[in-house]
Amino acid sequence: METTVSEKVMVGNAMGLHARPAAQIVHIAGKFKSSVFIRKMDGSSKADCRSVLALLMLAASRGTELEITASGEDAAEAIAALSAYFQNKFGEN
Amino acid sequence: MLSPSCTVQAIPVAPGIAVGRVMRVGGTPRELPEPVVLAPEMALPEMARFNSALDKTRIELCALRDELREKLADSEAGIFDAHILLLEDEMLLAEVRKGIQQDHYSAEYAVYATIEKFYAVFGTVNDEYLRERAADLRDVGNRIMDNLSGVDVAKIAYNEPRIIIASNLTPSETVGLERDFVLGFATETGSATSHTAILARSLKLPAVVGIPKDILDRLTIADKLIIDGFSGKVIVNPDRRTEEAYLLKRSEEMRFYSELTEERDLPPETLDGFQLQLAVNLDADQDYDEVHQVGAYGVGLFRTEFLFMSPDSLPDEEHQYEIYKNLLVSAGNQPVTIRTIDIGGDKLNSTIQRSTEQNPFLGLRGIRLCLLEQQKLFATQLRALLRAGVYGDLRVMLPMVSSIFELRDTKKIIADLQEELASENIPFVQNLKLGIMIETPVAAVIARKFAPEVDFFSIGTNDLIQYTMAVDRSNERVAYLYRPTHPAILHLIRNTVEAAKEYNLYVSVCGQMAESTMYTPLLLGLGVNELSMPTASVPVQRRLIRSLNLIDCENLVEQALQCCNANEVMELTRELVAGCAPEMLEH
Repeated sequence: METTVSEKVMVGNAMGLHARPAAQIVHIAGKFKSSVFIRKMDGSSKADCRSVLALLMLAASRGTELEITASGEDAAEAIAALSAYFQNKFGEN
Repeated sequence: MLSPSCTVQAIPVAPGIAVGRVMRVGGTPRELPEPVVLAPEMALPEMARFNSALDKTRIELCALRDELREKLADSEAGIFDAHILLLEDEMLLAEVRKGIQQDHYSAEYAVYATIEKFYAVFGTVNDEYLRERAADLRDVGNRIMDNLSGVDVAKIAYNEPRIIIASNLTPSETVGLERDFVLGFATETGSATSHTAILARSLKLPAVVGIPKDILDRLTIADKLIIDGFSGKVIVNPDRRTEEAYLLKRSEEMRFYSELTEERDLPPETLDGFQLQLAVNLDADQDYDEVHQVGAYGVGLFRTEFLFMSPDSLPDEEHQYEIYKNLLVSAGNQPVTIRTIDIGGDKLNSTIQRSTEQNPFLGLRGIRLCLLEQQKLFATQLRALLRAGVYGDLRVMLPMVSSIFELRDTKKIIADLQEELASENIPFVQNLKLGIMIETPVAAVIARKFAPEVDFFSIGTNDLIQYTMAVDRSNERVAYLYRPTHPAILHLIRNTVEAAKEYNLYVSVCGQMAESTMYTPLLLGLGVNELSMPTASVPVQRRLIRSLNLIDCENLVEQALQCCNANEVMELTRELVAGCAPEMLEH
């Protein structure tokens, strides 16, 4: 069943959304069939979670508010996995 | 866009003429000042070049990641996962492709511009941490650019030999050079005795050093150069008439050398019937066929350092055994002299030599390093040699020997290894022919003491001269004192040869002195048995030897030994050569 799920998250680690977590997000999102995007809450930019460069281009430093949106049969699971990763502050500090 | 035409005077270090487009090796300038726009038809080869640089970068990064994963937590290795993903990122690739295909940028510039474009986004970020982490982007870009300048990449892209340009060529950078794709060398730094020069002469390719940095940095793959290894002149993007004149000069050169090639089956024998043996200093990547092609006999020097150049692993016994065995088998019944590992001085390898020394040339190098710090590595090599020795006429040569105990200790190790091999029922050579390099003044002076305990001597003139004259041959400020014709050197060689004659030993010369025709009359007159040189020098040496009389050479040496400086000896030698083989002075 095709669904779209969104959730707000915040960048919690000191170094922000840099290359390593960006790559990890690509890996996590890649496990699901849904298409996943992350956008900045201020509406300035949006990234496809298949592109590590696009995620980097969000230039999301600590404290930046983001919204993850997933569309597809496993959208809820994708969102759950990704927001857990954000809540875990990308496993840093 | 081509660089403006210009002519600069550089320093000639290897004779010959090369005309062709350039290829950069080693450090690419990271800050490209302006876009490099190529002809539209270059877009296709540039894409091919970019793609193979990407492949190479990916392999590199995967290796780094796996290595880190073994040593550190997964999280640290994760940064390389990110870099690898960047290499596959559609957003990034699309931008580079656009640069190459639509804007006709060189691959280097397209990568550079792409990275900088995305990097600029971080310039507006207030957060210092995140801004710093953006360096990852540049890391990846630099890595791709480095690989773009790699030679094997270029080989795939343009089926055309090129002139290698570099700020400075290090031994490790030249290891991967594909001979057939090199026309010559032009570098910013270096001297007649630097690695670039030695490499070029051994390949019989022209080389010049001392090109101004601003000119060198400006050159791109589209630029054409003429390098004149006789005069040192370098012409960037020459006009047609100049190019034709140089091409003519080059073909005259080539005719002379092809004439020589036809003489390859003639014995290297003087007019009065003395036969000198011409052997080859064979490089790791050379096929033994090249020895036959120039009509040489055997290998006078096979260096093994290349085996130990890999930054993170050392070769095991099997690996070495295979290499030595293959060489001996391909040599058939011709002798092959293999030198045990000679690391130190200018050939430092970080995995082997950990401590830094104030004065590495006078430090722990060659046999000293093997006996004092690297016993295991040395034993592994000797075991491999003992096993391979059953496949041909093997001679093992020890470098940098300065004490009789070094020789005796090594013989003891060999005896122990032979016992070990016998008990393991592994075939090995019983009477290993063992010799030493005479490359320290001390060894030359007490050659008589060494003679009864060895099977041969091989005179390494490069080090012998540098240690005798107390001159660092790579230091341009004192390099003028480095003179093979100095009477002091001749006395040391004479002493070595006389000691050898008393014990019926064979004496070879394997330094650069053996490759230049200027010194051949002296070495002949001194009574050595063999000259070992790069394959490319063999034909011209044969021609010269066949024009000389041994008796004249012996008289020359008697006179030379009475001289007090190198110039006098040089002048006497030149007179002799001018009298019997004047064409030698021009080539």
